[in-house]
Formats: sequence, C-alpha cells, structure tokens
Amino acid sequence: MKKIIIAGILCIVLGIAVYLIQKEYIVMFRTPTSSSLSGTITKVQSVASVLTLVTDQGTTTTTTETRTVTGNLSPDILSLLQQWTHTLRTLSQYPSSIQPTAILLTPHESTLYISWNQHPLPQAWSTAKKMTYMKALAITIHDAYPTVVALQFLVNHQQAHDDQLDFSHAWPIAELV
Amino acid sequence: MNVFFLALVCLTYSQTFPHQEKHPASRSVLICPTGDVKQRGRTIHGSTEAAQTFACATALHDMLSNQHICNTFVSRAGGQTCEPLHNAQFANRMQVDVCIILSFFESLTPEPVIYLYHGVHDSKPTRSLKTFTFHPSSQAYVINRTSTITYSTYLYTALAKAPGPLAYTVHSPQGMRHQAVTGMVPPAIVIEIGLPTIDAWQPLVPSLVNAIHLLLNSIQGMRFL
Repeated sequence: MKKIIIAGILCIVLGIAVYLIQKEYIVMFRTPTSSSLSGTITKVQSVASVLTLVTDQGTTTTTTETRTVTGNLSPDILSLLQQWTHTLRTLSQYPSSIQPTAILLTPHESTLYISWNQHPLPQAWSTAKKMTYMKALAITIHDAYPTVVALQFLVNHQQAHDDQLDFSHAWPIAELV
Repeated sequence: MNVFFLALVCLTYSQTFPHQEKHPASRSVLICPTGDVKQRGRTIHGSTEAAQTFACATALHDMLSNQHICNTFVSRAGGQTCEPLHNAQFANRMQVDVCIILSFFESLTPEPVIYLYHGVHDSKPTRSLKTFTFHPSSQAYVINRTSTITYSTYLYTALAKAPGPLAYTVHSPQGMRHQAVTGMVPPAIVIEIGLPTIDAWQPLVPSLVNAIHLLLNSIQGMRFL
C-alpha cells in the first residue's frame, strides 16, 4: 500500500515536471521544433533586383544580383539596401560612411524599419535632394518587396531626426513612388 | 420684415466670408526664418543658415512694410531661442493669411536655386471638414489643403514670370512632410534657396517681395478656409 502511494506521488511529480518543461516554464535544454526548423533553413541564392539610383544627371535604374535567404525577409532587404548604397557610391557623391545596419519588419511586413549607422540624408543637402534619394530608396524597396507599405528611418536604433523632413511618423511608400 | 431678413443674410454672409473684403494691405504675412540661437541649421559659406535667413527675413519685412503691401511679422527676434512648434503657435494665434518659411543651403550652381515646398503630401480628395474635428499637429495642413496648393502655385508663377531676366532658377512646388510646416493651420510655404555665395539672397529680395505682392493680389476674394 505504501509503495503504491509513493509510486503515485512520483508519477504526479513527474507529470508536473514534464508539463512544466513542455510548456517551457522550466527550460532544461532547447530542442529545435519543426516550426523553428523551417524558419532557420537557409537556402541562399542570388536573384536579380532592380535598383533605382540617383546620379548627377537624374534618376536611373540598374539591375544587380543580390543575395536572398529563403524564408527570412530581413536579411534579404538588408542585403538589397547594402547593394543600393554601394552602387550609389559608384554613381554619385553619396558618403561612404553611411550604411544600413539593421532591418526590422512589423509582423504583417507592412512597415519597414531601417536602422542606419548615421543619418542617411546629410544635413547640408537641399530638401529636394533628400526627397529624390528618399524616392529612389522607396521605389527600390517597392519593386523588390511590394508588401512593404511604409518606411521608418532609425539612426542607431533611435528615431531619426532631420531638420527638414519629418521622420516622426512612418512614410507611406505610396507617397514616394 | 423683408428688410430685416435681408440685413440678416448680409450679416451672415459677411461673417462667413470675412476675408473676401480684405484689401491686400490689410492682409498679414508671417515670415519664419529657419533655426534660432541654439539650432543654427546648415553651414553656408562660413556662416549659418539661422543667421542668413534671419537677415533675409528682416530685409523682406522692411521692404514689405515700407511699400505698405501687407502687415508683416517675423516669427522670432535675433538672439531668441524657439521652442518646438513656436512658429506654428505664432501663425495659428495671429491667424495670418500666409506663412513664408525661409530656408537656405549652400549651392554649387552658378546662380541661386529656389525650391518651393508645402505640407500637403497626400492626395486625399478635398472634403468638407466637420466643425469640431480633431486633427493632430502633423495633419494641420488638411484644414487649408486647397488654399495651400493654390497659394504655392501663385507664388511659383510669380517667381517664374518675374519682370526682367531671371537671375535664379525656380522649381515648381512640391508637397512633402516638412518639419517647418508641422502644426501650421494657415497656408504655409517653404522657400528654400540654394546660395552660391553668402550674400546671393540679397538680389532676390525684390523678386520675393514682388511675388508676395502678386500672391496677395491673386488671393483677393478667395475664401481662407
């Protein structure tokens, strides 16, 4: 009788322990689940992307190969933007120190947060020139990722501030393209 | 009874469209130079945007006042520090007819370049606004959406068709989310001028005064709201 009670208590304790581990209230070790596996499959491939660029003569487009990672948009967009800034430097006087550092998408992939290492539009530029670059960037993103409907600029993960353009709210891409 | 009714209609009409009977000289214009003592703006040939726009605003104010074209206000004094939305609060409280925001940048072109901007950046259809509608400061422009676009077009036309050979290039107005017009209810237009030399704005003052004069004449009889 005593053994049965002890066995019952042990079963209950074991059941509670298994339940807590299963619900991740207690984390002993993390095993990859099927859903997380599908998210981390990295099938890297190159695709052709159309970049809209600004030159001294006006706006132009060029097609380039960019790296894409299946199943994850953020690295793809970051790669596209790095390609955009790199190509821009070869065509215009875009400062070499400006780089996109991180990308964040809202759950429905509607708003794109782009974090730069410094302000992407230099202070000395005219507002019209800043708008031209904003439009070129928006068209490039819109062509490659039509699901993105708004852009928000960040500088070092903080809200970007510009003396002329108002970045306090996300910019709808429809206003720019 | 009929006379009383007619008088009532006239009184209501005059209260509804108070700006229709304004003479250009009785109109008021607010000139807002960029920056202040702390926010100096862009560097322009060794000087600052705040200093140069303030000098230009003062020159515009003097010429507009001396020629009795309109009542002119400059939004800040020299050496003054401005809080956020300072210009918007000033413009809304004064209920001016037009706000002109001056902005300069250093240009590499041989002649000055003039850009015109306004805050109407979306293409929503104009609809009648309800009397007690709440608008956040970023959408204050919707109250005078049509007037803002019309005024900026008038200003552009006046600058582009100035008498005599043009010593500058002027670009058509653009609507955008501009910091300077945030919160402004009266029609607000940003005049951004690219300066090849530090004093290149001085020859432009008569052209700007002429353009403002023509703008005020053109809007004679227009509804404000």
